[in-house]
Amino acid sequence: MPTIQANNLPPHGDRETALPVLDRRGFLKHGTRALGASLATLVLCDLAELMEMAEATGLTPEPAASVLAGYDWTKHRYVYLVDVRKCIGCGACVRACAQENNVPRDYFRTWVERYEVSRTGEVSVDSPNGGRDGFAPHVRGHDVTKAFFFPKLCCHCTYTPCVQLCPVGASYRTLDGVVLVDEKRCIGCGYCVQACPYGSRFIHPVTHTASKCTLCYHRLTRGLLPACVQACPVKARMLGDTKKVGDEVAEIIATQTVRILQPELLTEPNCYYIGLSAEAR
Amino acid sequence: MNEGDGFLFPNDLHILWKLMIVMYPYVTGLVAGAFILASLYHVFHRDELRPIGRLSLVASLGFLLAAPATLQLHLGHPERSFNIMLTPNPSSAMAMFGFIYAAYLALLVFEIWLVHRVDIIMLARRSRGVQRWFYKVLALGVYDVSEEARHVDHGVLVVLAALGIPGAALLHGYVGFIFGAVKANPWWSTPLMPIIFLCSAIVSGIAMVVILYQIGMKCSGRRIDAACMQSLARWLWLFVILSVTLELLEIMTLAYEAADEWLIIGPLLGDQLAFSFIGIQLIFGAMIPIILLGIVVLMSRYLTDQIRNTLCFVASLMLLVQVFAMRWNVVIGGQIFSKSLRGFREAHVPGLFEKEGVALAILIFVFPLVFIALFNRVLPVFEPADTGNTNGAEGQPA
Amino acid sequence: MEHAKHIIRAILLLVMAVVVFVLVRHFLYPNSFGLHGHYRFDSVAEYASAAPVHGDKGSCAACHEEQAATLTRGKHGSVSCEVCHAPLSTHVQEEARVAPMLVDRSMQLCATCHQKLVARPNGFPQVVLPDHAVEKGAQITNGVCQECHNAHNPSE
Repeated sequence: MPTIQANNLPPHGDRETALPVLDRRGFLKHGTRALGASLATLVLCDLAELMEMAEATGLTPEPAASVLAGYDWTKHRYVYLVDVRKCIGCGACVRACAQENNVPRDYFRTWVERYEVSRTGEVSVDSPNGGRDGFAPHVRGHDVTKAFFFPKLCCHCTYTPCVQLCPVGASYRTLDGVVLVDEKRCIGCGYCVQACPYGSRFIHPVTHTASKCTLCYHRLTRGLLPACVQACPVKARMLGDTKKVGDEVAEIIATQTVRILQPELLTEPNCYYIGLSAEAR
Repeated sequence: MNEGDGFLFPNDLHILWKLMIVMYPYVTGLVAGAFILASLYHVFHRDELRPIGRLSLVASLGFLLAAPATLQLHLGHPERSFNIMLTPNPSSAMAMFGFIYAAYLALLVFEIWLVHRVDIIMLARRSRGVQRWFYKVLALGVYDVSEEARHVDHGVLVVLAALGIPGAALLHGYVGFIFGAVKANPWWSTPLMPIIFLCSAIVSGIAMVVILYQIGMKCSGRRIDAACMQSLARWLWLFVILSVTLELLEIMTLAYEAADEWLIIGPLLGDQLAFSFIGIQLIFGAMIPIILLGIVVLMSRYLTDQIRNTLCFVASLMLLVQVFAMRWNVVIGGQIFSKSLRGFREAHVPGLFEKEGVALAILIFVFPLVFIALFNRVLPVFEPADTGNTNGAEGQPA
Repeated sequence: MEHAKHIIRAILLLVMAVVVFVLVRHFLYPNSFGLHGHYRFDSVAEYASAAPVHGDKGSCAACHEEQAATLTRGKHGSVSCEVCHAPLSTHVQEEARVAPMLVDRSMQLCATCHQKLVARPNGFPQVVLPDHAVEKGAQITNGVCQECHNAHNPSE
């Protein structure tokens, strides 16, 4: 039976209002037992969990069935190639992406920019509504000796700043090289949007989570091309697979002069450009 | 589309980190600054700072409690914010928030408890009913006020205060790192960022304590300790100079190296942020307080207490504004220009009653002040005056 | 030690708080997290399972053989049907027709690709619209381009 010890209590004879606490000895005894028990349970449970995880991960990635039936993500590594010399700025890619992925207006998973450069090096860039409605002719304040269209999208970098900075592990890179956002875990802090040097990300106005190009992952896993690649009428956009033998895009990247954006940041983007002029950033 | 000036990446039209993300470093800066000031007394034995020893700690706690509100109001999914402690990404500075915050909160509460422990026990003895029960719980059922116990308290206090300095530095420094480590943004990306943030945090912390101390003494009809105020002025002056030097150093280096980001940052500072940067952060908020505090520090013997107090008070108010302007210029300034480095979006004007609006920001700022006032009702925040002409420490709790 | 009881109690409280946290975390930790990296693996399957909106190259040819053949003969052979007509799923879902196919005969649609723009590659067929139509003596109405060009094979 725990008793209230006399020493150090206030001297005003207030046993009836005293706290119903155990005396020191009892408290420590029962307390440490409870503590020990709960800690032991936890450690055991966590050990079991850790062992499960270790088994599952192992050294080889888990096979196809868990992603989608008939698709093995270890057999693909996607790269994207844009031939700027071919792009006509029709905006079909932007529209196709918006329809395929239900992208809200004023937000862009891919977009097209127009560059107009003068002989003296003045550069004018515009992207009316991301190129979604195509481009209209207009007059520039300077002569234009060089002009081109510049399609852009998420580069699905190998060393992504966005994945590195995501605080909750919502942003990640799949084994087949696609950077995705877990919409159920994302807390909408916007750090990844700040981190992307290419401006590819945005916070979705309805779901309040980070959103971006997914390379139409739901199409890739069914053997289809991303909507933008399929929509391009001049085949300026191409998808490649470096794990496929004889892949045309992989061959171009390996043998021809290609460019990546902001290489000094060492994000190792997997989106390559042919024919991109120096003014493009 | 072209709401801005020049060319913006289409997704850059939307500003993402608004007033609440300006408030967050501001509030945690006050936390860190007030704590480091308190440590000057508790660890480094600057005894002239004794009058504000407790006040600084309680102020630190008040602002610490207000800090998460700023983040919750910003997040797209505040109900998922616990994910940061469930699955923190080890490579993300932001993920450190949950653990640093919790550890620092525990440390600060522990330290405040130790500082007030003797008062808690005395109040437990003197009160009746619910209040008595309350103080007994606070005492954790131990009523030992012997010399040895106080000695133990003091020892633990010094350890806590010493640990708390890197703790506070981490709590605010990691915020600076969050910005400084974003290589995509040339205005943010610099190794100096955590140090700049920390120095200006200390400025804001000391300035806040100066103001609270003066108001507190005025309200309770007590005299403002001249030696304490002089010391506060000295520390404040030192850190303002340090802080402004670092801020200017960063800009001077950018301007001198004139790499391609300077093409956009030069106009950013000269046009878009002309008022908030040059006007407030540099002239109103730095140059003038440096002069005022310089008068207090260098011409101390010619000043009456009245003048010294007034100069410090005015300088502190200006510095609180300056530190806010600095946070604004970093956070909002870094988002006003597009990542295309070719254009600016419209200046951001926060609304009054929106989720990240002015009304809520003011509320978050006022909450710690109310907290300190309420705390004072429960436990004395100001040391008992030696002359004993106060209604402070020994009075009955409300 | 005897005079440090309060410190020990305080530390005990702290330890209990940590234990509570570990317990709570244990129950809230998501399944499938961490299997292949610091993310929830189920999310990958969630992405993969979304239904495509567009079809692929051969989806339209299954029913519209004639138009598909015309298309492949001409310069528009590399253009996907869905670029000018709407995405597959607005017209067909699960192999059943759900709505009429969208047909846009306006000059604006053709202009999207063929309006003369400085930035367009020089070798690409582009004209100044509506001047081109006026020169050819056509009225600017809906379907004006189709008076001379077969949309599926423009040289026919």
